[in-house]
Amino acid sequence: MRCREARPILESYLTGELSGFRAVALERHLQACPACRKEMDVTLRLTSGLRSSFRVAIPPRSLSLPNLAIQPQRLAWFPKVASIAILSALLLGLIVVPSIHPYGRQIPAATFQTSPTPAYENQPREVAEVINRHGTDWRISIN
Amino acid sequence: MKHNLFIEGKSEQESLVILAQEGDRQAFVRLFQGVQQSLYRAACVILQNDQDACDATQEAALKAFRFLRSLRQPQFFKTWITRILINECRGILREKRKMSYYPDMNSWHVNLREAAGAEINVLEAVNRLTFNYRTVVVLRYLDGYSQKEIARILGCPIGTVKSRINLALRKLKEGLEGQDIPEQRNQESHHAL
Repeated sequence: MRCREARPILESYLTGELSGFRAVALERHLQACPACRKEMDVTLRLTSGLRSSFRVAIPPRSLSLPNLAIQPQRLAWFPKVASIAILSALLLGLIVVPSIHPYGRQIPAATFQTSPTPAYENQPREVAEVINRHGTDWRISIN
Repeated sequence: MKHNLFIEGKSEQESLVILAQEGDRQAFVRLFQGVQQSLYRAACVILQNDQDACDATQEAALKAFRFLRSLRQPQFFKTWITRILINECRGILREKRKMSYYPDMNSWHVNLREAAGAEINVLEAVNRLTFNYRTVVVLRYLDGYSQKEIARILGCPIGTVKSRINLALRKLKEGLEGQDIPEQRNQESHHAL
């Protein structure tokens, strides 16, 4: 462990919130590094001083409770948001999705009809070759 | 009226939360009495004003009672109400536009009879911190929350809490360089908490 890794976890070490493996690694580093040991002493003094100062300077004070003439209630926004979300989901499922998705609309029957018989199939051979070569349906008469 | 009816398998606090959620005001009063000093003192340091701290604490109590049914895990009552308090403090500071820097010690009810020079030094250094750092320092060293609990209260990742604590301590060390830091006093000499 290096100093730059050790410094940010000194505070967690002092409060016992460091995992066992990292605590052991930090202890080893502290044994070998006087600068980090000094830093830990400063951190310990500061955190103890903070606790002590807060405790001394702010005496307890008796507070009066506000008037509790109300009933505990659920968060008012939650049922509204939930109902709006459910309605939106229903609208999306029933109206919007079928209108844009092919499963939900009627497809014209002609779209799925097989293409008509190629023009060259019932033609004399010469005509058929010409039609086939040009890739068109134009009827070209050789004779 | 004293409640002795605890729900089986639940702690005292959890039982009181469940009773209060059902509308039992006395149960809520007992719950609030258990946390009010901690809330008030945290608000005192964050707001640096005694009257504002009282207002924030009372407003937090009112909101907590009103929305108590939204608390799903009764064991987290204290962290939950602390979060409400922090939001109240943030709102008060936003209204007064004191978010970044507010070093006025005069309006803060500091117990000068007890506080020596070293404690005043520390409190003034805390006052110079910005809201986020001050809040983390208060939750950590006044209330003694763990990093995980602070993350829950502030609603931020635990890594953010760790870095805020380290940065706040670094700023405090810089601010207190060459000045006295109070030694840990005997527990008997402190106020009853």
